[in-house]
Amino acid sequence: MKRPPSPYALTLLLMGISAVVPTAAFAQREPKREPKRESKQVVTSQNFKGYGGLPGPVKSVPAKLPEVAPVDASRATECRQTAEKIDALVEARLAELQQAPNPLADDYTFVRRAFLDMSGAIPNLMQTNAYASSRQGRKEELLVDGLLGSYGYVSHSYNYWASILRLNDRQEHLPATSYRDWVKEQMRINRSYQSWVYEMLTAEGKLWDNPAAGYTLRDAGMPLVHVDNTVRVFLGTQIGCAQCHDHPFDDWTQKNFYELAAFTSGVNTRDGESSPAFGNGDPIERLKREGKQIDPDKRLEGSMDQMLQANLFRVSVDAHRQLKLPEDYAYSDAKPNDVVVPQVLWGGLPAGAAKLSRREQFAAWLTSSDNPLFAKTIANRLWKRAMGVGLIEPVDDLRADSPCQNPELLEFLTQEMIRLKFDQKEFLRTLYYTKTYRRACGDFDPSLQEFYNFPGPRLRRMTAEQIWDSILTIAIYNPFSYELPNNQQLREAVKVDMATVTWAQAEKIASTYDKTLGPMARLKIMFGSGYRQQILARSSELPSPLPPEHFLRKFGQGDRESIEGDSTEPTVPQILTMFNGPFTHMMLEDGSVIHDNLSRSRDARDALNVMFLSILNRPPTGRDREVGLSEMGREDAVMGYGNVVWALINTREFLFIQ
Amino acid sequence: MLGDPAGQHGFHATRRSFMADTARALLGVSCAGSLPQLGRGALAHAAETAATPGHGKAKSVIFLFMNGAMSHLDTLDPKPGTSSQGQTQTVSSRLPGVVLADKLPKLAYLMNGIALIRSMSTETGAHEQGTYIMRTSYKPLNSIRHPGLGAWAGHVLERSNPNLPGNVLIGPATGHPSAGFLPAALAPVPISDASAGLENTQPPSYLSGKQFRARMALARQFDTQFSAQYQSQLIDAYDQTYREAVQLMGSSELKAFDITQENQAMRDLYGSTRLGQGCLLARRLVESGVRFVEVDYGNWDHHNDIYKQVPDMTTELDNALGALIHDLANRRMLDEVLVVLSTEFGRSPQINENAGRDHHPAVFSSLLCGAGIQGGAVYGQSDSLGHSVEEDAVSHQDMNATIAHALGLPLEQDFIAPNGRPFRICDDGVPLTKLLI
Repeated sequence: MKRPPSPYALTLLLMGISAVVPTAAFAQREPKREPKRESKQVVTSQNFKGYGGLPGPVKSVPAKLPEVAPVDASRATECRQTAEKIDALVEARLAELQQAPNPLADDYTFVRRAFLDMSGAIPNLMQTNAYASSRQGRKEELLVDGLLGSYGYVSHSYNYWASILRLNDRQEHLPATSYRDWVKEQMRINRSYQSWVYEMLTAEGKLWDNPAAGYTLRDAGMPLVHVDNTVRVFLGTQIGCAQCHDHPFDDWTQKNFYELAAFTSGVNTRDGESSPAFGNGDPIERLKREGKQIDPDKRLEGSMDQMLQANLFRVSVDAHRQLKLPEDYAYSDAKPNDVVVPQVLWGGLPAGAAKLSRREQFAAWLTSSDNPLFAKTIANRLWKRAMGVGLIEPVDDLRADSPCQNPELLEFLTQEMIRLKFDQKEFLRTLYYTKTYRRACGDFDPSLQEFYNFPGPRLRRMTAEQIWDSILTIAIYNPFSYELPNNQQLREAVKVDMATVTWAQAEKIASTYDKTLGPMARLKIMFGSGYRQQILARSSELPSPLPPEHFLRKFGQGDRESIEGDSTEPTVPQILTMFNGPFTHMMLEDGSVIHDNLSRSRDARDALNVMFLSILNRPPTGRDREVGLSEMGREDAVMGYGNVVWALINTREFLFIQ
Repeated sequence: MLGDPAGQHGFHATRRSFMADTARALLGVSCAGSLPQLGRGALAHAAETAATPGHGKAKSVIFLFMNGAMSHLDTLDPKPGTSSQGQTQTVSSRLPGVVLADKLPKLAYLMNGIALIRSMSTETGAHEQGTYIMRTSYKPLNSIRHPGLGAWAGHVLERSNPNLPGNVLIGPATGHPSAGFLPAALAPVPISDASAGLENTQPPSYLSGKQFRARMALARQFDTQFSAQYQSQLIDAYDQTYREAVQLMGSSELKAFDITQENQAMRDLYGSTRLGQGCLLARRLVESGVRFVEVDYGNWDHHNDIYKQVPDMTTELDNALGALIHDLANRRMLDEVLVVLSTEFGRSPQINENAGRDHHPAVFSSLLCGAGIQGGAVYGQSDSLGHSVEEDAVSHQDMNATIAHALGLPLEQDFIAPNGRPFRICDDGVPLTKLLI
């Protein structure tokens, strides 16, 4: 076995892997540990030869991750005061119901929860120990601040939005990797929610020139569905039914729907073959002819076809096109085929919007601080993200008569969102500063109770992404060794001038396309960061959607077709994957993080601690110790160690966030 | 020889005896005479014979999905002597006047047991949408995923074998809506490679069964505190699923997933192709009580050089499906197993400039065979060029309703999805009662 990467690596580990915890706050001296000779091969069974070892790039700590917008340390007091107000509102409601809040969670529970909720994966051994042993005052707040400034926050927030936005970076004919990077970038710089949503709603152009256009291109060719999605996601309002008929149990009429859609009526997502943008007539037909002239057997197919098709996608606006009611419009308030005058669903256009384009008017109205549902929807969503349940459920269906667990609290949070100018990070920070968030969690059964009353956050199963990323934390040093093509690479692999491109030029770009986005590119990745056919990289770095047989999909990651189509329910293949799949066995490989940590342990008792703290982020109970030590003390001690690691990964406890 | 268990009958049968065996087993008579073509009016009396003919006759369904849109013109509905024919030659089936592509001789021979549907049509020519409608009877929405028939069957009916999953999908599962809005446990269990069987059911090779059990016991013990601390439905569901997974791993019935248990002759009969081995696995699964098995085979998306690929693929299909029907019939299972072949839409009558055929939702073909289905029937017709439906249009919804009806599922019942909206299993689909017996 190779020597562990030296004690120096531990410091790197703490600072690098998740430059998350302000190290100064938790500085503590690691006791010097002399690896015992017999502790070599601690985990690996004599029979377990490994699966060829972990790929090189994941075995060393990343040199540097992108810098992330930090929280403003000087606003901690303000944040704390708001948090206290939130606690008071929660506790008042609990008191009315004669329910006591839960006691505060212990350090181990809290550090695990905070890492999972804020940076998407469990803490590693060092981080767990550092937090638990720190005597620093207000260490919870320091932890929250550190995590919100870590790259894990960007990764985790991206996953959150990728599910809501149905982010698909491999749409037919449209590799949208720059859009996903753009979403990540908004999280990294912590841009105001109001502002990045506005940009998505108004972005024009091609994906590689303006990645925010990816939002509209996601629903290319489906303009009415796109309006429905937009209102649902950002205003928590479901008017989709009204696309075809008056809403069955809400007030929306079909006319309302069309009036709203009329704001976006001139939006095109694809340049038709006869688009004036191409000057020279249909470029695809022109190229086909050219190809045939070169060689009658030449076909426009494969990568070349994909690449050229991608160049047709562009968001553009025809300011004069008007929307008409459908031919089968059946209500008496208008006639079929009537031209529809744009009209917002409630309130009016914000001041100064009159001179904007229709599309900008729509975006301005939707994202306005005066639009009561824009702030309320995101406030309720982020409350759910922190506490596990929305004050109104479902979070994308906030009707006037929707039952709300605590209307005063929701109103307070809504105003807070506006006061914070839609600063998502600061808003989350406030929620994470509350005592409510720090309490022991509780559970409730929605089929028996209408509301969860927040005696603490709700018990949750980890998301698929949290499970995957946590297992990576236990096993590898660098979960960021793999990157999908960035905007520049995408541009080089796709962009052509459709008006003038020749067959030869198209062929050349298509070969770049192959290398960057084609099957050969995938093989290359596997060679670099692959382990038993899986790319060992954070879930946020993997393609979206993933194929159905992928670990993440088995654990419920959605197919990115329906909004938040994820699941946390159990299935048999999921459990079998956990039991027997290669992914959960990689931590038994030489050079895995836990393997290295175990090889530094003093004795069996210490090793058992390492295992518990690395996987469940708590020390073993007395009973755990008894059971674990007896297992490790078996004749085949090597196997015993492996068994304990395996068993811990396969507990229910591992899968849940307490 | 009929009804011999696998492995005893050598299956080195000549083509002739293969056909004869199958024909007898299919219909209970040897070489049954042809039946009239079914269409509107032709068998109007059939519907009157029983209140709900065919209802619940199928204990299992094997659904062969020809992924990518199979050309009806080069398989089940050729148009010899017209501009639509392309290079496909034809073979006479045992139904007078009914011809199939010449690469389908086995199916042509088995036509007495098969109901051909030549008037399928759908509203979309986009693969994803078309496949989604084919599987769920609904158009894809951004707000909700609809369940497929396998999940519905699991939701409504008791599992016939509690040790095995009730819903299995063989082949790449891309685009499958999983369990839709029903519980995730009803999602099809994916098998990406039929020859490899169910993934992850074997402990790693370095572990003995005893060691594995020891690991399980350890995990349970480490979980004591956590389990005692919470009363949670989701944790209970996990407990239950852990038990099922362990039970499955230890179950002798796991061998249903293992086609290597079949002798080589049987594997050869189905063809050593993905489709053939998938069909063989499907047969093993339904034999063990799995309710719904989908086998995916493609890619049939032949925009280019269709005749470089279609003949071989069609032969593979003929071998696999022919073997499946033959095998099911020999095992006397065809009365209880419904075999379906379908695709998302058809391909255009015109051959394009790349010597291929483009998407064509206006008309295409499917077939049904087995439990509850009238064999020797052709339902509906396309026009002379295979361009449009001439008679008795059948939608994916109708096709699904026919399958659901055979499974005994309630078509009229409203089920309330978690979003509060009512859904029917096959939307407004109507079973093809004329094909049901």
